[in-house]
Amino acid sequence: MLGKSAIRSVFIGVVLVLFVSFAFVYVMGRIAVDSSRRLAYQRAVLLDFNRFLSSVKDAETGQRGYLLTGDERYLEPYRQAKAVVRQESAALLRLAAEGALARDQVARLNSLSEEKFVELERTIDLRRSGGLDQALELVKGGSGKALMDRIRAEVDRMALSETRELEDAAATADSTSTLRTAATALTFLFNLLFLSWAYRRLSRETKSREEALLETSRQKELISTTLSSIGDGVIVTDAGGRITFLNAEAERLTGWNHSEAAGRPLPEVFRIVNEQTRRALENPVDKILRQGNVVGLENHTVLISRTGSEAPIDDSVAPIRQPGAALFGVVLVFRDVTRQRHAEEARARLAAIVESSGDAIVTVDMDGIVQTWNEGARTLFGYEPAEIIGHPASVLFPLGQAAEVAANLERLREGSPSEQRQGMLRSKTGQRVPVLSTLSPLRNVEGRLTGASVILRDITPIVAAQETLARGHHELERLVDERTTSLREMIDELQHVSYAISHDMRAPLRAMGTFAQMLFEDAQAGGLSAEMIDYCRRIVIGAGRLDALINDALNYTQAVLQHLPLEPVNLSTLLRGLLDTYPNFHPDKADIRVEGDLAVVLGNESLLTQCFSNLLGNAVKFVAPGVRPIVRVRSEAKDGSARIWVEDNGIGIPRNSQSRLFGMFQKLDTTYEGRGVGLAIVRKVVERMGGKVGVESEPGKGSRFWVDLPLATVAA
Amino acid sequence: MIRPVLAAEDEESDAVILARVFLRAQVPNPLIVVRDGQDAIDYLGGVGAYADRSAHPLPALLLLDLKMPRVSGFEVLTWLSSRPELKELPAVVLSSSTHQSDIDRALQLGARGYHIKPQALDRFVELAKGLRSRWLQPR
Repeated sequence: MLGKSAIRSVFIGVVLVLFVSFAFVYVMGRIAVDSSRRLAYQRAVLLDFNRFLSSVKDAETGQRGYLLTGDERYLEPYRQAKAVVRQESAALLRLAAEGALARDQVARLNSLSEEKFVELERTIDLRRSGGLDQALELVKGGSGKALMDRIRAEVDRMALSETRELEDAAATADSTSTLRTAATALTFLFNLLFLSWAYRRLSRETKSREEALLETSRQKELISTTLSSIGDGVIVTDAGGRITFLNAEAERLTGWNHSEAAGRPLPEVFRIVNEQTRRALENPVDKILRQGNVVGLENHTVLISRTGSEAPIDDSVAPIRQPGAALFGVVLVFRDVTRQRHAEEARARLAAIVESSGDAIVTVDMDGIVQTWNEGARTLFGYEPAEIIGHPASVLFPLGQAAEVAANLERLREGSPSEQRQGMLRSKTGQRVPVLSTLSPLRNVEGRLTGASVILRDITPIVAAQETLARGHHELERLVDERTTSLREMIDELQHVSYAISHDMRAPLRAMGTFAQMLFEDAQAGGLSAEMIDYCRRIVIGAGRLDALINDALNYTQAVLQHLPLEPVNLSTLLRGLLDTYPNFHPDKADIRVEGDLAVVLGNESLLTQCFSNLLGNAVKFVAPGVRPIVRVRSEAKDGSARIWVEDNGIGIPRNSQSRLFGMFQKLDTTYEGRGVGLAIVRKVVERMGGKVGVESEPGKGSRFWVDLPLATVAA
Repeated sequence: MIRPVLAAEDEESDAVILARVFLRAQVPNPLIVVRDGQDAIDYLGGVGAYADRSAHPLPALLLLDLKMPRVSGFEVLTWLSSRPELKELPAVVLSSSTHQSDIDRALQLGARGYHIKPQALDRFVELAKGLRSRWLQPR
């Protein structure tokens, strides 16, 4: 594409060429005209020569006629020719004066013709005066003929030179006209070429201008659409700072809509202050006008919208100018950085957490190369970030375990869930560092695995504590073992004691009782006073009571010390057995009713027998004199346990005594035979089976004992 | 002649009581009491002082206390089970121990019965009558 100046040069060139060719043609024309004029002139000159020569001849011819005939008539053409020659001579002289003919030639010719006419006059005169013979004598002398030949030669010489000049002029006229034609043709051709170039050039220009126009409108459309839809706020002002355009985001941020804002000065719509100082900031348009180039706002700029809400923004302002022209507007692009600010804050917070964390937080890429290294890592392992970032993380592993890194990454790749592991790592100085590590995958935005973050907690104190704990545990176990052994020994001892009681202590008692009995029986046969016999009886009774006491104590220690497994026990069956076995529970002594099926509980048959035989025994024992005992046994289920009620119509128990009821050797009523051991045994065995026992009672209104025991079905 | 009842009993009182009870229960067999298990074994084996079988005939019933000096009742039972010639001799335990473990062990070792020594005289007499009818009635 040619520039405008080039096009101008082309035009100037073409004009110059046209001028030159015109001048050339003009000059050629002039030369041609000159030549043809000269040609005509030469022709006229040649004609003059011919007329001159032929007139001389005519004059000679008239002279000859007269000489021969003597007729005066023949002198007429002679005279005429003589006049013509005189005319022609004058003409030739004129031409010579004009410089067209050589002056000496003309003079020679004229003198020759004068001589001729003189000769002719003499001959004529001789004929008239002398006759024919004299005249002829003169002619025969040949001077006339010689003159004539000289004239003819002179004319021929002059004609020859004139003819040569004529040919010259003709040649000149010929060549100039050829040149002119050629120049004209060339100029025409040149013009034609120029015209066709100019046409092509013009049509191309028109086409591109149309396309440019179309493109411009398309771009305008595109820019308008783009500006409306981009996330940045865009405000355009004219050179005076009045708003001409406001896009959707700018509308949102300023709270002004386009039609309201149009034409207003920028500061009215775009109110900005410094976030910290609250100082109003310079109108960016003024700044542009002052500086003339793109400017940015200072940091911490806050845009206050029409409604008073604020948004932190960052922005740039650019002047709008046409190339080389003065500024005719300003475009202001700004962005709500609230979210960016939040993201930055969050990132900063996270970074601070990572940096200030007491744990070592390290990231590695999938090749196991360390990417980040926080302060905790520096403290724990002793490597400066610059020393280890970019190096394989395997240096942190004890020698021979470098493959651990790859193995861990492989697990991540396989998608194993991250888990905490305990391990041993190595510090820069080669010290072993026990750590608890959590390995988590790092993924990029597409979710592709790019590496791993590793949180490493120094568990040296924990390990130490664990060791201490383990030692303590060990010590404790040893102590427990020791104590258990001594306790077991003590229990064995106790069992031995109880065995001794049952065997050794009862033996002398048996001796006392039996011998007193024997004495008593023998005394009845005579020999002892009634008083002595009574003493014997008392010894027998005392021994019996002591024996019973020892028996109870034995039962109690057995209830406490015996190891008894727990198993499902059907209480209905157990109770039926009890009622059959004990004579006191037979229908002739008491009315004992078991209501419905009792629960199947988790317990021990022997303990349960002790429990219910005691409860039933009490129930039938503690009744007012003469009252037939009525006992009701029933069970109810209650949250996985069974409550068994034993209700009697006995004398009842005062409220203030109920708390003492289940104590050892607690006797509430001395009128009844008993040693205050039964309920203590009941409580002990029930507790040993994981149950509870209690009573609801009032004096005179009977007692309701309850026993809670776990249900067998629940345990099973 | 009626074969005796051999009782191994270290408690002298119990021995006296036993004699009286046998009398009251009208047990016809004479009662021979040895002081411990070792003596019982010696007697049954005809060893030492008991070598003379005519003076110390084999008993029709052996009553064993369990807890005795030197050799216990259990050991006597064990020894007895190793003597086929004494297979016919019924050994019955008469002890103050109420422990089920003692009862189980004695029966396991070959005791034909286990009786807890009654504290009251008349109950003791009842027991003796039971022994007489069970083990000592002439065939």
